[in-house]
Amino acid sequence: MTTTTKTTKGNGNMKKILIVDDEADICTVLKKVLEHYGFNADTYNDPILALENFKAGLYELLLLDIKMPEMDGFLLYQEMKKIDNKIKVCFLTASEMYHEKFRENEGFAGLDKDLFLRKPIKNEDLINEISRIINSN
Amino acid sequence: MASLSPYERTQVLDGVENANNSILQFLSNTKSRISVCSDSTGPSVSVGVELYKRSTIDLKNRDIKVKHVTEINKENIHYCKDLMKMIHELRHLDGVKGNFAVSETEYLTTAAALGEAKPVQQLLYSNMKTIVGQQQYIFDTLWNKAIPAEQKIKEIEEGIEPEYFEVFTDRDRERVSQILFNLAKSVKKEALILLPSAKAMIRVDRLGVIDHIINASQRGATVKIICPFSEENSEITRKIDEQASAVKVLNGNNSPYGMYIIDGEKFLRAEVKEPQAETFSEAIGFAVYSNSKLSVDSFRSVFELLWNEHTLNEELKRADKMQKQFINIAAHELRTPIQPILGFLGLLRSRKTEITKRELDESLDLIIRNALRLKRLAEDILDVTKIESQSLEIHKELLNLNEAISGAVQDIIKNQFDSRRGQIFYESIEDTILVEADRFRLNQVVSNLLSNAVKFTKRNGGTIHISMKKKDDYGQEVALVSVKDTGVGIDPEILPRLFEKFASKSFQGTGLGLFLSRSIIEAQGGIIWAENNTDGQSGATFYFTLPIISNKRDSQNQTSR
Repeated sequence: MTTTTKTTKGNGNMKKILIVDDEADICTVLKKVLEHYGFNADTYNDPILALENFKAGLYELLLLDIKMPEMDGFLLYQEMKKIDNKIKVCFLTASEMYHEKFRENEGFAGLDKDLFLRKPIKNEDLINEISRIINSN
Repeated sequence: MASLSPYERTQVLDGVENANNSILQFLSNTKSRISVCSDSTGPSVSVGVELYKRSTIDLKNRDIKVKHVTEINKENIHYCKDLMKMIHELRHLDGVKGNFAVSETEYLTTAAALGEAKPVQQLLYSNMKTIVGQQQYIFDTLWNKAIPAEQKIKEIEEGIEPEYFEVFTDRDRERVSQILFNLAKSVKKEALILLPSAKAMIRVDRLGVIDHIINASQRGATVKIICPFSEENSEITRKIDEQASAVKVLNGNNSPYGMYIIDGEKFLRAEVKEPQAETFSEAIGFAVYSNSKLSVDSFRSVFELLWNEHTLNEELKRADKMQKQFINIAAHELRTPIQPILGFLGLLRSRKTEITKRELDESLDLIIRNALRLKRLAEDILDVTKIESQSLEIHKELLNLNEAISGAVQDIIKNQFDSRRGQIFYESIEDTILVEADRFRLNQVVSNLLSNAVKFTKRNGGTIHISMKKKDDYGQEVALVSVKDTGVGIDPEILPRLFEKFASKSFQGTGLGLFLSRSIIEAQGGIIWAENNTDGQSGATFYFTLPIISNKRDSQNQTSR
């Protein structure tokens, strides 16, 4: 899997993945795992700060927690999308209710169900899913 | 003809002054009792003429029993109420005529009609034994026929009306509409309302019923409404909630009729013929309006049954919601720490090169930290289960609270507290405060309160003050521990149920910690509460108390000081 990703994206100017999760330990582990498999990643555990520092073209993919204080992952994605409309997203959540109903309520029913991953996820599965999303159109 | 004994006399006294003197003499002569019979004007004279009023009060002070029988009506009711407070007993008898008073030895009667609150103009006096005896007999006869004044006053005040039972067909719709309006306007103590549909609420609101009900509630009446909720009537339920929060509105089912039970005295029951009609009068069909006590009582009990059923239903729904909420929170809390554990273990397993000792230690620390978090959560859930099945054991021992708390504070600082985020201060006024408590559980409470304080003090440079002092709590000496933070404070919405299960609105935590803390403190004879800081600082302060075990040496020290 790792090799696929590397060959597709090349190695020199590979874009990064942005991880936002209010749990510091989750940020740490996700960054380590992604780096282990050849990705570059930045992390924030404060969504507001993440948005403040966000610029178009910096990242290829957002890996977002949903339930966060002050700004949830959906809203954060919406705001980041305004800044960079090519940005791809993947939600990673431990909540039970992230599914259909929540998406509908929050106005994100249009988002593909495949973009939602459930914590805890095995490293290999996470890498597979992320590669799939990055390589999709 | 029997000869009169020399001191027996009967005479007429003319003019206010003479009459008054005679009355005063009469009152001062009595040793134990006076019986008064008067027409409905009498009470106004006893209460409304200052001299008589004072004399009557004086009788009471002399412990002389005054019985008074009169006719109580709407006009003299306020005099009667005053009079009741001044004399031994007041009774009511329909149509009593004449005004007289009898003591043990004397008899007085008015010779001219009384004027309202006017002094007596002319009196007839006698101390003849036969006359006094006859009049006492007449009084006793009237007295025994009379009813207690309280009963009559209640009847008048409640405006007892003859019973009626009116039945209306749809030809009388306007009249029914008028009756409902008047009923809503007349509410004094209680309004029980069953509305058949959300639409019906809109109709009666249009009629002005809801506004009158809101007014009644603001005046202190109990108002209960059962009505189906929908988008349609949400504006009205919001209005009720905002203007009269004491009005209770429960979500009901659609019913084929509306019922209005007012003050436990009257009811109106109107069937719905046109459910979609815009006005009340257009909507209703057959209706019944009555003040029949039996019917009102039975409708009231039907209403109460419905009310209880709906309340129960709402409680079940709330419990169900809480359960779902718990599953959601528990899922989040249980899964979150697994991610770092699984992630790091996976990395360690799949590593291709040697890792440094430092990297390994960091990974292991993170894994341990998250495993401990899982352990704590598992224990919290188990503790809650124990509390709910009443099998939580508290092992009390005599301990120095000061030591116990500083120990707990040290633990927190060592294990969880990131000193970059702020400072924790601990101060105690006393060195030794002995309490009987469970050391482990006490530690749990302090650590809970402190980690909450840390959690909600997000901005750098926050402070947490934990302090302890002695306090007198209604005669019992207690230790008062407070944990004051400079964090975000407690959401006012949560505050009333802060110590209930799952009250948390935060993004981390199960909402079990404070519930556990309360159970633990209460099991040790203390209380726990919280408030938002009002001293101009942000944040909240949590308090708990524990009863102090007085110790001889300690009290000796205090007395020698």
